[in-house]
Amino acid sequence: MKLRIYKGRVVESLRSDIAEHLELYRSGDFAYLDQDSSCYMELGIEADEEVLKNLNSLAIPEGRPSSAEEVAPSLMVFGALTNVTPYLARDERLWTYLTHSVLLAYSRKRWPIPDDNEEAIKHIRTHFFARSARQIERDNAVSRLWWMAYICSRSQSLPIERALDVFLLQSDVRASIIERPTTAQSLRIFESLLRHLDRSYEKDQKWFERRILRGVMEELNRLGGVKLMEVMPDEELDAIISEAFKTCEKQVA
Amino acid sequence: MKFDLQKSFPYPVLRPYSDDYQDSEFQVDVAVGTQDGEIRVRTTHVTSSESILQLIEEKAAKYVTVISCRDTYLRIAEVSSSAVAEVSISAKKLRGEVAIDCFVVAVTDIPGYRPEDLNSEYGDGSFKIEAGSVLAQEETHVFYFDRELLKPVSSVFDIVVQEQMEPGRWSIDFNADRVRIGMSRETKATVDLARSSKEHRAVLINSLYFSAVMSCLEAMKSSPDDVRSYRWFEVFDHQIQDAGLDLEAQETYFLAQELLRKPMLLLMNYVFKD
Repeated sequence: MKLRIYKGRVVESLRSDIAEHLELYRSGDFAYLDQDSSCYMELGIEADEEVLKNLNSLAIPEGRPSSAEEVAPSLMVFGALTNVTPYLARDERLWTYLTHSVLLAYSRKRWPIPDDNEEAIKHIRTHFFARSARQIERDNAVSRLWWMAYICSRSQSLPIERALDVFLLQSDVRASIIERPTTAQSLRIFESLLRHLDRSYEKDQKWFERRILRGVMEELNRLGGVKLMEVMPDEELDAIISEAFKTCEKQVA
Repeated sequence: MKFDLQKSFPYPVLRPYSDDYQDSEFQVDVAVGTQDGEIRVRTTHVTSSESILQLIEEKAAKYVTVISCRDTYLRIAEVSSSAVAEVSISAKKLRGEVAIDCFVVAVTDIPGYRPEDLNSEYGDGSFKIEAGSVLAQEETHVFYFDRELLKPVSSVFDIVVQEQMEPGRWSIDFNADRVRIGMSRETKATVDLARSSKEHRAVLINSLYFSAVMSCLEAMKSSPDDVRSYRWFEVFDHQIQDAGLDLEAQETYFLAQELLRKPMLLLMNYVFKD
């Protein structure tokens, strides 16, 4: 299918009319918007509709799924939307379209809508729209999956599946890295962190422990304050990160 | 590493507003341009510090340009011994705020660093510099990138129905982010239909759009403060700068031809060819 995005006015009108549309969010759909060509724009970008539809029937564990259980949906969304560029992936109109159309069923299954109407309105505004950077990266039912996969897809030393396994094993890993944009942005630092965590993943997964990882990130922040780590050779960067993990492990023991 | 004047380093760093050095300076000229869907960043580093220049000459230090975009998780570090660096980035990988930070960084350990014009407060001692340490830093340059700005100027026009307009006549309204060209329902239907053919589009560009572009340029020249805040102004302004044109010095008819990429050629190629 050709990817579509809602027009800006449609997104704004959906956002302001959540209360009137609660029943559609709970059990109906927004197919009428897809039938009116003045509501959307069709992009010249192909998306794999079958894969997206399969996401709707993906088994989602009761309660809140763990980070690790988001590996499969992340891979599916990224695989189906492989032609989406980072530029487009920052566009709220795209994610609002997907959560209100082909991925509406997945969105409400993954983020069940509360029974209380007031809570439901807040919940829908958070998980079915993507106005801010935080919403795009963390809250929107679909965009968060694409961005996690995109960040991991940049790894050259680990295949995306493995990088996601490591990245999403503990929610703390994802949060620690995403909350420090310089670390996530700098591919060499991100790669080196992933490689170290991958080794621990195979062994005893000790380095995934919250206090150890936080300690390592703090040490990287401190070093990054006076040194430009990107100019260091790979071996030196790896040695610094190894040392930080070992020191923090000893401190925690 | 963000530019932060409050940050203190355990050794002297050549930075604006800092008195670590007496007279030496480090400045970077940053030029950002666009071409064929690529953003080109060219940085020209200049320093008057003989010590730092000597370290670069000896390959103990290098110029580094870091381009980062938080929204798209892009971060590129261009490391070079040359004072001029050029980086091309696909426009698909940038959105919103893009920061350009320029440094001189030690790439090897430097045991006895003692620049020539240090502030006397440093005394006579020398410093042990480790590889990766910043020796000079310029203030962060920031630009905002939006691919809308790369679109042709004709993309800022909306043709809208204006019921009271007599057939064949049109009006123009600059007072919105997009320029609205108003015409009767019947005229708009004809124009909409015409846009589907290359030949008719060529005629429209040379008539309706050419006149509309000229009107926009006139508004920009005569009353810039009235229209500066609108989105269409940004697109025009960006395209004028990008094409190396001069709004003040050049004639409106010439600017319009350049911005529409010599539209007469469309008539010659599609309409007059037979």
